[in-house]
Amino acid sequence: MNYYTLLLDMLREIGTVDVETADGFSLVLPAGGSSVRAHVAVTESTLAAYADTNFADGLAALGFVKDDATGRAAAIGLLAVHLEETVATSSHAGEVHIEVTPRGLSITRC
Amino acid sequence: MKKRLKQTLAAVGVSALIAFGGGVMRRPPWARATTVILAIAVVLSTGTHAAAAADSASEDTVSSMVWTTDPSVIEPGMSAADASAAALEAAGVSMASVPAAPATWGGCGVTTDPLKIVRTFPLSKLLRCGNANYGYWHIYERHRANWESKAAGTYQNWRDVADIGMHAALSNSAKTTYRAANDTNCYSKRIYLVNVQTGQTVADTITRVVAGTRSNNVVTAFPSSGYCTGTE
Repeated sequence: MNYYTLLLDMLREIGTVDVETADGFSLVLPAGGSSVRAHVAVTESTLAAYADTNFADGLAALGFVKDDATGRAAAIGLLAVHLEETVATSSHAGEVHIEVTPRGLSITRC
Repeated sequence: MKKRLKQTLAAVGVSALIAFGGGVMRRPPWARATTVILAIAVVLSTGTHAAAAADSASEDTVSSMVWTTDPSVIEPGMSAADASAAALEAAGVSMASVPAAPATWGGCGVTTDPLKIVRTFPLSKLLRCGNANYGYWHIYERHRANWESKAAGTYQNWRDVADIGMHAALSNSAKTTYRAANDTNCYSKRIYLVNVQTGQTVADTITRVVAGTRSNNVVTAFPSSGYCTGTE
């Protein structure tokens, strides 16, 4: 399972993903008439570690996402929700820089 | 301030007692006793009325703002407590879904089972205690400040406002989007801040709830300036 591709697929269902590199991407979400852009720093290895850390919570919260009984797809699903809510609750005027770590999100608002 | 007021009035009463004490002492015993008893009654009554006035003043300073899904249920002049109850009813919060715990969403301690159900919402969506990644504790850690900013200056606390918003979004969503990639649904609905004294709507916000499609578990809920994004 390629976690990076899976995460981008999830985020494309809620907003615009661009400026993709192996180290991250930009996520743009509409926000009450305007939009908020978030720069997300993340790699495949970080996502694998994130999935390993959070698979149990993924299963508990979302169940067998992608029919994956290990819970790792569900963990990435939770991450997608967390990214969405972080960006959605950001200021309209600023940008958000998010670093994904195995334990969660490190957020810097500009 | 209430205490200081009582103390001041008590002092005034005692001073009055002392002031005419000289006159009382020149009267026959039965008259003296009657006068003293009457004076004490006056002091106590004054203190009581002062306390009531202080209470009334406190009530006047309690916010008359209430969040609701339907401003029309708030009748101008109704008490904030009645308005808050009406708002809960308008949101579809049935007493059957309210746990026995005294506070809204009570019962999630630090060692409580994350799977414990805190609240059952419409569409069979479940708010569980959860942890940092989902449920009540996730909302607490990530969005308590967001909800508190909405509750500030109102009669309700942040849990009340979130509860009303979530019931509204899950019972009568204005926009629902399905995210197939992570098996979640997003529900969103606007709620309104009403001045109970005037019946006027003074602000609004949109509640967004994200829940698992298969699991029915609420992952998160937050106030937002926009409805759920994605394809309906």
